Parts: sequence; structure tokens; C-alpha cells
Amino acid sequence: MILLLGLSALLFVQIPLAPSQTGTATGVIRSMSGAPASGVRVAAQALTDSTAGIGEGALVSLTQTDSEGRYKLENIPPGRYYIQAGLVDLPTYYPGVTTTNGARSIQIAAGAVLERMDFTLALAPGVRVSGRVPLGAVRPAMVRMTGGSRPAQMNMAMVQVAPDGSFEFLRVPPGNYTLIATPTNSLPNLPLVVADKDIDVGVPTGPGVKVSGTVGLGPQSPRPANQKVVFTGSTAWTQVEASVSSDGRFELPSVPAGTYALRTVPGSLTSQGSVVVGDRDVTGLIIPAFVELTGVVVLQDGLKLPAFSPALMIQATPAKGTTLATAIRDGVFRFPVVEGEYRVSMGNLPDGIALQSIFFGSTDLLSTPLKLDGSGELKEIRVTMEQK
Amino acid sequence: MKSALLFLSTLLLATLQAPPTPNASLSGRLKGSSGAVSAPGPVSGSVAIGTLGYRDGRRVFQSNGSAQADALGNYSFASVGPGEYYIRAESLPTRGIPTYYPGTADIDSATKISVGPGQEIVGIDFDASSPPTFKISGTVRGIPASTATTGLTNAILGMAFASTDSRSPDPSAGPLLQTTRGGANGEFEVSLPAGEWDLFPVIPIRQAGAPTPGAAGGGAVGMPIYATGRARVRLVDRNVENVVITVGSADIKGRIVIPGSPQGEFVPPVPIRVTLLPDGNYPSPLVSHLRTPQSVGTAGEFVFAAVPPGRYVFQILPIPSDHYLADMRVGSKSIYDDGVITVATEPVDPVEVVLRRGGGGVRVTVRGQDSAAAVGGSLRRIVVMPVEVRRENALLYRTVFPGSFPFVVSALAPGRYEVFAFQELPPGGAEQNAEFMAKHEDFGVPIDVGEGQTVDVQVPWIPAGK
Repeated sequence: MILLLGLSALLFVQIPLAPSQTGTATGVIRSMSGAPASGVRVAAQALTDSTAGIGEGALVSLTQTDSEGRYKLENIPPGRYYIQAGLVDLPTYYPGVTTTNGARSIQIAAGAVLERMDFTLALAPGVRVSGRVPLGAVRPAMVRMTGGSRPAQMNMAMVQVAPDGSFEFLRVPPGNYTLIATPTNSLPNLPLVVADKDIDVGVPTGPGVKVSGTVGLGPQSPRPANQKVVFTGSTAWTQVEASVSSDGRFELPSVPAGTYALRTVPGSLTSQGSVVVGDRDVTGLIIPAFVELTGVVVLQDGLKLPAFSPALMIQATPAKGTTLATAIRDGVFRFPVVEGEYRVSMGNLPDGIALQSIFFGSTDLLSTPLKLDGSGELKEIRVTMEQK
Repeated sequence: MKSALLFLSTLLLATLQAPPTPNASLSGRLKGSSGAVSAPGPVSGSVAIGTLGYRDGRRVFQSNGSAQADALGNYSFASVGPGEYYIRAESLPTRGIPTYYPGTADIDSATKISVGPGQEIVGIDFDASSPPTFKISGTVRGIPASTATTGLTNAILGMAFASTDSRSPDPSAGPLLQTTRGGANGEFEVSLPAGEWDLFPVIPIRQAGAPTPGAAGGGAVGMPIYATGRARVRLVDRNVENVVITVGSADIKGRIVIPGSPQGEFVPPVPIRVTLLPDGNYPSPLVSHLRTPQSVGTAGEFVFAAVPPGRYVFQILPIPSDHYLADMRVGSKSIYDDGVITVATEPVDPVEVVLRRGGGGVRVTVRGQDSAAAVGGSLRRIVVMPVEVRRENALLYRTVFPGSFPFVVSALAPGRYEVFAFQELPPGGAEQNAEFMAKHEDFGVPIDVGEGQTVDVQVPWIPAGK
């Protein structure tokens, strides 16, 4: 899945020799903080004067450190080697240097066991960068990571997004990167600084407070099953979420300080509101519900509405915010909006067609705003047109 | 005067300080309909938003972005610039054949969506239902024996297909169809909805990166090559059996000749490259090795290897500025009128393309020159279009950006033309699209160009967007 891993696998050489004809090296790898470094790749790298007929730079043995930082490189053909640990492209060489100039080589003889080849990593062994694309956002198929401290180092690492929206890059060297979602219109690019700690780009960091509230402005607000409320943080990649109960309540036990855009899933593509979280619990937060309005358009004389291109559109303009619009198709339309107050109107009408009325139940929407506040049953929007 | 200046400066300031146009969003749902073969409900697939444009003179759908529908069939575009768009869905139930909003395969029946600045367009729901399909079965003959080296158990990788409708903006629609009957004797069976289709068996004969067999010149190395054939099938309301597709290909060898060059030498004033473009609806993977421009050799020679059956036109990049296309021959037969070379299963005679220095010219002015000064768009073009029997020969067209008027277009092959002045010509060879030009026929001014003559002509501007 990760191109770097594929590349490193190509560098390895299989040498089929009996154990008595090969040597072993063991030791302990410590991280830059001095603690035992677990899960770090360790390898023996051949020198030019190797007697085993192995090309210079070939990695002839590979292992990983255990939970106490210990490693054991076995089946090393006789010859001269560097011991290296960490990333393939940014290794630390025994006794703890970043280039072969300062590295100390070791001679492996048949049957020899070299112990206590301990050293401390001079470079971070790479970290895990993981995340989860926001629920309800356009779901990217892939996530790319570009950049790094060397141009060729990580310029094309790409992982698939799992069905639950999660993704993961392993052993990412320190450096400056950009996360790019594909298709690229699904999420904005995210700059990322990788140091020596794993990064979870999907979770806001810092101590959190409890945030609770209700979805819907009134008792009859729509509350679909399996609804979630999503708080999106300072970047579109960062989110916390909670399930919404059948009576519309939700609670997030720990939300770090920050400004969050609020959405429900299923729900609107754009924000249904925002909240600023500080150092105190937030209670009684009310998020307007997502309402699936439907409607029908008829001609006064009962004739079928002809197809128009561009499509005939109905608009709903809130007191504050973005104008919503939907297309009429075969005389019907679906108009998903967020609870609120809207002025409903027609978009541009083609020649020969005039608007006669727009009703929501018995409410004349040409003279009265559409109020969606959960206080009553949802009704169909009925638009009547006439031919001029 | 002072107030006029003030107004102008205010206008300028307003232009400079205008905030960027806010982008809109657009969302909707893919769904099956109750009247379809597939069950009603959400449909997964991908959705693209785009406009109609041109490529090599053919009308094509140009995607501005795409999105994957989620498990509930919902899709959305978060950042859409203002404009009028077609929305196109490709889903498994439709065999990957594009469906345009609100649910038609015919883009001329599709409904455009008008998107305003900052608007949130919602509820753009699609019918992406599975249409009834019919089986097409038969035999592929003449499968090359050398395909055994590819290690494939069945030499036919699958069937590509394309609509025969020349107005379709998706000439190579759909994914490769897997044949459900894969006998070693070349039997095949695939399913498609009603319509008239060209079927192309896809038979790999060279992996990507391998050298081109028998090819001279560069450019084609690295592209995979497939053997193929073509059968036209019309599906109405029943299965079609016993379709025979004969696989074949031919190498096209030829040379570019510039009279006056030293004998035996080819001395073009600029490096020349050639490509071969299918004149029709060939699925692009089958001819991608021909579309790769190749430099002509030191004697002007070129070779296109493994050209599948079909009609092709040459593209010469570039025709030197003071030269014109003087002749095109295949063997002893002239193809100068339409520039089309036809490939079947037999060898093709050598091709000779003659470029000659000189020709005639046209000195163009436009009516209403004063207003012309204001028409400074980068898409304004003068088009000199060959007419009558030479109308189809793309190498005889001249499309140029006029800096100022009068504007001289030189090095025209002697013959009859019509001259057009577009304030805004869609890019991609719209002027070679007969349907597009038919809408502007009344604006064309006919001229006759003779060798060594420069003809004066005054043409009307064709307004932008017309």
C-alpha cells in the first residue's frame, strides 16, 4: 500500500546459506529520548569489501526491535557490514551516526555472534500518521501525502480510505508534508509537520470539556434513525462526533477548546451552525434539524410541466446565509434544507411561463416566510405556474 | 468631464477591489427507479460535473470535478464556480454508460443546472437505473498467435464498446466488458442495453514499456498495444448472435516530402512530428500508441505499427509556417480531399504527404473595426475553412489568433474556403465540428484562393456565446 515499503523490499538480497556458515549480531536500539525503541527496523548493510559476493549497500538481514528495543540479526553471510536502524532512507548507523562516514563497520565471520551492538537513534524512526475523513463530507477514495525533507522521499505516498473513512501512513520520516484528498474537491489540502510523535489528524488535541444539546428546534423536528452530530474543528479534517438519541439529545464527553462547525449526518453539506468551546462545559446547545422538504409544480390548466434546460429552480433564501436552490424534475422536487426561516421564490423563469402561487400547506409563501421550527407537521410545497 | 473621470476611476477601483466570486456547492442522490430492472433505492457510482467542449473537433464532455456517491447514493461537490453545468453519473447498474441529469443517456435531452455564486444547490437526484440489456455473442477471428506470450489464458481481455452516435460526447464510454464465454476458439458473449454499438475485442499484443515491433522513430515505445477489430451491432429488443469480428492490423509507413529539399534529404524548417487520430469513436486505449506524437526520421519517414482497422487522419505538428499541404497519397491514390486513410486487414500502401512552400493568402478585416478593438478575448479566432469536398481535411484548416486588422493568413493551399471571425471560439477544434459550424454558416464569407494570390475579405464578427 505504501510505495516506500515496496521500494525497501526490493533492496533485500536472499542469501541461502546454512546457519553454521553465517553470523549473528544482537543489541539494543534506543530512541532519541534514551528509552528502548520498539518496532524499529534494523538491518545489516554490506560494504564493498564484503567477501560474500554481495553488492555494496545490499541489506542482507532484517529484523524489528522487540518491546525492549532488542534486536537479533541472523543468517548474515561472512563479510563486512554496517548495522543500520530506522527508516530505509534516513537510517542511523552503529554506533549512532547518520552517515556511513562516521559509521563503524563490523566483520561477520562464519558462526560468529556479535553481541551488545547497542546504539541510539540519531533520527526519528518515522511515525504513524492516521486520521479519519469527516463524516458526511465528500468521501475521498485515496489520501496522498507529499513533501518531506527530501524531495524524492515521500512524494507519492498514497493510501486508500477504508470504508469507515480511516486512513493510515506508517513510518513517515520527519518533515513538512501536505495531505491531499483524491478527488481533490473533497477536502482542502492539509499542511502537516511530522516530528517524532504519531499524528492523528482526525482528532482535535488538548484537554476537553463536555458538550451536550439537542438536534431540532421543536418537538416535531425530524430525527432520523442512526443520526450523528459532527463537530468539525479548525481544519476540515478534524472532527468529533456523537450519536443522537431518538428524542434528539446528544453528548460529547470531551471536546477540546476551539471553534467548531456543526452538522448532522445525514444532513447538510454545509454547516448547520457553529459553536465556540472554551474551558467550561457547554450544555443546551440546539442544532437545527435537517428537513427533507418535497414539492410539486403544476400548471394551472393541468398540463404537464415541460422540461427546461437550464432546469427550472426553486430558491429558499434564509434571513442570513447562503441561498439554497433545487431543480424541478418532472414536476416534482426534493428540497433538503436546515430548519430556519426562508423566503421561497422561483429562479429565472423561461419565456411563456409565469409563477402564480407557492403554498406550504395553507401558508402562502409569496407573502409569508417559510418557517421550519419543528412546531408542526411537514407539508408539501405546492407551486402553481401559468402559461402566459 | 471631471465627473466622468471620477466615475471611471471608481469603476476601476471597484473592479480591482471586487471580492473573489464565492463558490457554490451542489449535492444530490443517485437512485434506481421502481420501473427499472434493478430494485429502487440508492445506487453507488461516481458523479461528474462539467460542460460540453471539443477535442480533435469532436464534441466531448469536459469534467470539472468528480465525486463518489456514498452507500446511500448521496454525492456532493463542495466547490463549484458559477455557471451552467451538466451532471453526469456512471454507475454499475448502467454498465458504466454515462447518464446525464435527470436520467438520460442522451446529452441533448439532459437538463443543465444553473449555479449561482455561493449558492447551495441541493436535491439534484438522478435516475441511475439498470436498463434492460441484451446479449451479443459470436466469434472473434484472427486472434494473433503471438498473444500466447502474454501468459493470458484467454487472449481476449474483454470487449470495449462505443456508441455509434457521432453526437455522443462520450466516444469511448464505459469500462471493459468481461466476456462470459471465453472459449479458446475466440467465442465471446457480452451484454449491453438497447442502442447501436461498435464492439472492439481487446487483445494485448505488447505490454507497456516493451519496444514497438518494427517501429522506426521514437515516441511509441512504452505504450501498450492491443489487437482489435470492430463489429457494429444494433440492439433493439432481443439478443444478437453469431456476430463475427475479424481482428487485424496494418503498419502504416510513409514520409513527408518537401519539394526543393536536397535530393535524398529531408530539411524541414522546424522539427516535425506526426500522430494518427481515429476518425470516429475508437476507445482511446486501443489507439493510444498512435496518438503519441513521433518525430519523423532524417528522410521524413514515419511508421505507425499495429494500426487497427478503421479510418484515420494525420496530425502534423506543426506544418511549417510558410508551407501548406499540397498533396496526400496512399500508393498512387490521392486522399487529399478528406485526408482519411482507411485501414482494413490488408497491408497499406506507403503514404506520402507533400508540404510545399508558398500558396495563397487572405487579408481579413472585420466589420465594425472600432468595436473589434474592444474584442480582445484570448479566444477570438479567424477560421479559414476548406469547403465542399475538402471540408473534412483537418490539415487544410487554418485557425489563427488575429493580433490586429487587417490580418493576413498566408500559406493557404489553393482552393475554395469560407472565412469566419469568432469573438470567442471554443477550444479543441470546434471549427472542425460540422454541427457547431452549421450554427454559424451565415457568418462565413466564401473566397477562392489561387497560388501566389492574396484575397481581401471583410467578415462579420460572430458574437461570443452565439
